[in-house]
Amino acid sequence: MKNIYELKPAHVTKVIKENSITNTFNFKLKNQNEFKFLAGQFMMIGVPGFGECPISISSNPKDSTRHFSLTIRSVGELSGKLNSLKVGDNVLVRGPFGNGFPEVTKNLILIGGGCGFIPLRSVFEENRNRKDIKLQVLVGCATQDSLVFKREYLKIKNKHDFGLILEHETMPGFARQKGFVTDLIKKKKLLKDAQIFVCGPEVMYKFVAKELLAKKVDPANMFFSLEKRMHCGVGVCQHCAIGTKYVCKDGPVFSYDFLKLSKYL
Amino acid sequence: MKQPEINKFLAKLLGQGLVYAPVRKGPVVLVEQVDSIDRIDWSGDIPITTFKSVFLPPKEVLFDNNKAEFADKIKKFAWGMNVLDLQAFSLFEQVFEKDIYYQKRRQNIFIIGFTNGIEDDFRKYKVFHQKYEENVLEHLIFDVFIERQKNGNMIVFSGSEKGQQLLEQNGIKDYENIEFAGLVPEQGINPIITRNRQAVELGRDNPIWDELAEICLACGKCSIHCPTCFCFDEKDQAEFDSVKKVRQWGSCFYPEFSKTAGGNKDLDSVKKKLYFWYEHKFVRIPDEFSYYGCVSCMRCFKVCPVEINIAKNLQALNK
Repeated sequence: MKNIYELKPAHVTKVIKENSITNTFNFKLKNQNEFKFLAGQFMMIGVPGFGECPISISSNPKDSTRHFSLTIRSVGELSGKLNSLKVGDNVLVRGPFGNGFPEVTKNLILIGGGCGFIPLRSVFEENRNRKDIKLQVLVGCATQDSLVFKREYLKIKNKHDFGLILEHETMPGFARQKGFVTDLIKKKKLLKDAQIFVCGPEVMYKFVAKELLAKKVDPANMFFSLEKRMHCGVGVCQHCAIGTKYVCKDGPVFSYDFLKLSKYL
Repeated sequence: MKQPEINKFLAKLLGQGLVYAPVRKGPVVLVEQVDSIDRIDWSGDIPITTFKSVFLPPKEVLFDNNKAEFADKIKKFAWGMNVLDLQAFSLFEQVFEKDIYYQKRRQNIFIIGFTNGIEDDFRKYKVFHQKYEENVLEHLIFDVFIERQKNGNMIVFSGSEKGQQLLEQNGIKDYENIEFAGLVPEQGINPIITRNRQAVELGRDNPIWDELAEICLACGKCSIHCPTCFCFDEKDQAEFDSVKKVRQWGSCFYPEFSKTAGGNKDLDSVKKKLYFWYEHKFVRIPDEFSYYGCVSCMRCFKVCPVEINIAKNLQALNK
């Protein structure tokens, strides 16, 4: 019988500093060449003695046989410990878990708040070179200092429709006015006939959904990635249950309709 | 078969492993590990505590950097489980179907049910979710089941190959095999499960949750005593020479349950906790397993410091 809780060692192959409290780590498993994941899925990562937590994968699923990346912000004991990892260090991981984002079949709008762009980066990377669809990326964050993937924004901006807004400051060339990502949605001309993937602090979802509906976006095209407390990762322990579903097993990506039905939006 | 023969069987089991059974302590019956037949309660009263700690210990080690394996190899007998507790156990068998720690432990556990007469029991239990069915044993998971009839006769049933072997090896030849017919009867999911599911799902905005939240202390006694509550927490425990990953019983009434990294909590009010508990039992479990999430044993009511009555609440939601 397979042990669903089996932890596998993974070692750090690269560390990229995102901001003062966030790093992106590339990890390699022993059998990395057999590893596969979907954009939007997450890993359970742990350091013995510090516990385990879910972290979204931020790298391109097409690179899965070479490595997977986790972008981690220090917010507690475990994430603080993880952020001290150096190349060659080992951690224990399980996964990937969850259902990921739906397949991208039309134009794509990615809306990220705070460090919410982390799982969206995986979707972006997977679809960035497609000729059959257009991409639009909208990012809202508190300050320049708290941005993740900052170095990539210029590249995105040069090829795709990109909008950035900061709550507390402006940023030359990127964000001319202060505000929230909802202000950006209001201002921007959204891509027509597009799937919209949203990730950020959950408090923002209600407002994002409202703005999108005001822009006559079809709710069937709206998907949100949730963050919840998780322990088992396989839909048993109940910590991440919302309504009739589990964020770890049935999510973390949910449709607008389900979240509306569960009184979540 | 008469009581002395059953006692003889039980005495043999006491020499083969740990026996957990109902024991009377003053006005209540508790489930405890026993070392003699005399302590066992035969009244058929529902114990206040449950058998769940036998199959899912309140705390267990899943991983230890110093040890390779954690199979609990001690032979255990869960003696005298009533029909409702067997239903709760049958749910656990589904929930932990793919859990290697549960399954390895389960290999060494024998489930031995007992009743004083099924029909009587069902009346006494004030069942609100089901009616007595003659074929109740066909839809339960157990190894051995003993029925004491009104005239004192004991009828023995086996519910598994493991149960048959146990009976044969311990000198009981007069028993009847029950062919397991699946947890869900042929006619499909019990309509009362479906009705309660709807009542709870559609009753999210019912004023009853505000009324209950007014009096509920969120102490979590209901979830600890509930035979179907299986929520757990996983934690790392560092000791001076080892690091262990432990799994322990959790409760959705406890403050840490839904807390995320930023300090946000989904279940930030007693009202939300109460609804979450009911939603798990009456909506999520039926959805996942087409089975009872509540077996109407009423332990939660009996241990509740403010006497919250699940049967009455269900009635109110069903109105």
